[in-house]
Amino acid sequence: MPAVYRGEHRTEMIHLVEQLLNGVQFGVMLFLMSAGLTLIFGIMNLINLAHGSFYMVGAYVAAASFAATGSFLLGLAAALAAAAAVGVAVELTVFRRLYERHHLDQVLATFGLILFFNEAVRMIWGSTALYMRVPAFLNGRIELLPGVPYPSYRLAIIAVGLAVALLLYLLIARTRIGMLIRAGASNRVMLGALGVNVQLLYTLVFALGAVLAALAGVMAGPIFTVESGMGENVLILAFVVIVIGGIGSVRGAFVAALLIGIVDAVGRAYLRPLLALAMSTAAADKAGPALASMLIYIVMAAVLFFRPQGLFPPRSR
Amino acid sequence: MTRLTGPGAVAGAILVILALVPVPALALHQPFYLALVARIMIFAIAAMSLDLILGYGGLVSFGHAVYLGIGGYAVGILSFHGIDNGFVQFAVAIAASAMVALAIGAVSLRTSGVYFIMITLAFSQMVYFLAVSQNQYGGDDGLNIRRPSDFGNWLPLDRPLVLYYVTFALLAALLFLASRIVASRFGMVLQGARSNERRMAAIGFSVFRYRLAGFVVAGAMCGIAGALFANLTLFVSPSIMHWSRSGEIMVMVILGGMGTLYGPVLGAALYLVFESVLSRVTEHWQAVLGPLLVLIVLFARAGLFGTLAWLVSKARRRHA
Amino acid sequence: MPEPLLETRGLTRRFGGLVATGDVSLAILPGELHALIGPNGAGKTTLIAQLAGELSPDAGAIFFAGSDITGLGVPARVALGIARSFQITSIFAEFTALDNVALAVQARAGHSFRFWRPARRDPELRNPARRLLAEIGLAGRADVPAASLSHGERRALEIAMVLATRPRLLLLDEPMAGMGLEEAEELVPHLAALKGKVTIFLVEHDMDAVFALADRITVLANGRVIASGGAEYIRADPEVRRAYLGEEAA
Repeated sequence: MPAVYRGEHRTEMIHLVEQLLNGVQFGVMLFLMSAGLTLIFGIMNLINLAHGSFYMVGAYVAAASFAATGSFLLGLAAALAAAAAVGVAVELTVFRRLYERHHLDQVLATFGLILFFNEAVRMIWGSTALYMRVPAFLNGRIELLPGVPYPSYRLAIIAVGLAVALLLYLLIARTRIGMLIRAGASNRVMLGALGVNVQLLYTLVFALGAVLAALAGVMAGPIFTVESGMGENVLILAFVVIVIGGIGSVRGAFVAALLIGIVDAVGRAYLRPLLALAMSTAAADKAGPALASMLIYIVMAAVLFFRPQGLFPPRSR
Repeated sequence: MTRLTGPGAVAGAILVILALVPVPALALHQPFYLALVARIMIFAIAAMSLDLILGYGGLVSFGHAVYLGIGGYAVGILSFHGIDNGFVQFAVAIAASAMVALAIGAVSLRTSGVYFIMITLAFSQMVYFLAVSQNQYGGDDGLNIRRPSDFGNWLPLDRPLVLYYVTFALLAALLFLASRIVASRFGMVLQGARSNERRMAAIGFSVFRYRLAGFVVAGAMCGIAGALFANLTLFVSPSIMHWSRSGEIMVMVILGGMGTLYGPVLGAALYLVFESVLSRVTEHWQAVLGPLLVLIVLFARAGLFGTLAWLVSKARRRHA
Repeated sequence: MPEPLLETRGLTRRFGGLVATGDVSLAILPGELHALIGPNGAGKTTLIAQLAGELSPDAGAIFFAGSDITGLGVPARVALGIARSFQITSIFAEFTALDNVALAVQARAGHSFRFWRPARRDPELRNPARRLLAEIGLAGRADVPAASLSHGERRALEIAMVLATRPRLLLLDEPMAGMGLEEAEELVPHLAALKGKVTIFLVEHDMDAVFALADRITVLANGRVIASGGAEYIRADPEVRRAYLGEEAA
């Protein structure tokens, strides 16, 4: 009896660890989406609904290149390059004219861009979803602790995501460009007056955001479906992350992204059984999934109730 | 006739045209146009209700389509459970939309600017996912509705002509109501808050409660549109609440002219006709619409209603 | 000395390391026109913001007619009778001058949850608004959109709006800033006409206006009160002259 009891606990523990790791993995991907978005918003005061399109472009280009060449890394490189190119192109043609405009105009224009990009990928790659397999060298499981196997691919995502987070931190906190970014975030006009090429800075930040989003898209390829419109679901979650984290704060985005990722994963796995303790199984079967899908937004509402400006609010402009 | 100003003339013309559409449609045996224009009028109600808080109140609420869904599902779910009474269905549609608007507004309106936009978007997504998760009501595939709302034998909504004129009557009534609201003391507060929030506080207005009230009224009106839509299509699915729908409604308001109430009616017509025509030309019509929208925003922001009204006033002045 | 209408005790406000308001204790007597002067950067606007309720102090308290209002927000203070004008004119640009004042009148005319009657034809709002516009000299400009008014007219409009809220205490933040010589001279008699009807706390740089209007003056420098008293006494005070020597020359 005692041995079985210990065994049950063990599987439960493994299950929990798995869900936590899944949450961290999802959170890390959300962070990559949100980091660029929050920087773009914080520095350029631009709300970009089309950010999800960079994610989508990354996924599509990687999936297509990987399928054509057989090399995942080549696919990754192509995706990042494509996203950077598209990002710069869109910035030069459209966004440049939107910086001084009202948020409503930015929302409408970027909405138009979403329509265009979603249709464009359908025109190029058709309406059926692209299939992207996990690259061979990451196809397996690693035993983190004895008896706790976890897919290597997901571990790689976590590792890459954390590495990028660290690099971003170093970039923003320790380099001159980072200093310009921080300065631009608090006083754009002053920066221009000091002779900094603000336009170039904007383009660079924009490209950086696009590349980060594309990276998230590439990583998502094998896990989620690569299809038209895939960017928007993640985008809205990225918005939630930014709202909770505080606009303009990369640190806030990191904390909030992990929070959301973990809450979502753990919620989906455990809400129904938890509810089943308090109500009938039939009721829990209905309420569980419904509540799980709403959980993130409930958390957002809760945070906003106490801190309408997020956990790490922007300092006065 | 001298009291008919430019805007008044255009508004009047719109109503007259809408009232008379069935005449040629039925005469030429093209009942399809009844359904199309009914659809336009339903979205006109939705767009007009958004204009109330967006054009007059300055609140960029991206998630307004959620109330179309709530109104629609009110009819659908009640019908599913055997409650076909139209009065009950519409009352629930209005009440449910109002309550959801109250809940969403209470949280969202404490924020402003970009936060507000993102949060309204997020909450509408939440309701969308809630609807998707309800498998007993069709989930992602949607819910078929057995029969239209039952308003008794003197108002059979299964007859397209009756549904058309009921929709028209509601559109006209809601337009009238909205025009009274924006001209009232309440409307002044909303517009003042849009114009200069700081000054509003400085003269003693707590703007939050008025904005919340506006939000609720707009949501309730849109709920009516949703209930009508359920009657028109006898079908409701989560896709009606998808965030892209909210974007479309916003486009209708801008195209037609923000802050004019009748502008959104024109905008809805323009958008839906354009979509209908363009989708017959190419299946990739969104690749055309997208850049077109960008161009309009960048270079041609004034709406259609304002332009028409201005043209009418100019013509009158020349003949005066 | 009569009971002060507005009193601050040890008001302090810091922005990081900068002391914008340092232990400020002053009293504004009912019915007087009390001016606040001081060199640029003395902290005058910060002080007004705290009196109006836009900024909360780090320490100290504010009393209005004897009760502690330190924790109250702007609309609550407006309801008590404290009104303010802004350093940069803040009005409703898209509304006409008459609409602007009518909205201010509306703020005090009960709740605004009225959805039916057109506000623009409501005599309860329009008549007092017209009267206020006439008092401030803008009667002929009633139907002009506020954005089309001259700078001086907009300033006057703002004062009309502020008066519409029937305040007991008027906080005027540099009403003559940016006005030409003539326009500023025209505003002085309007402000003088208000004396006695409403208590005024005037922040101003224009020394001619200050000495023409003020009953008592408080001088602020580096966030602290360096002198306070009757107009003539302040005029002669050597410390005040020293604080202003640079200002007067400029």
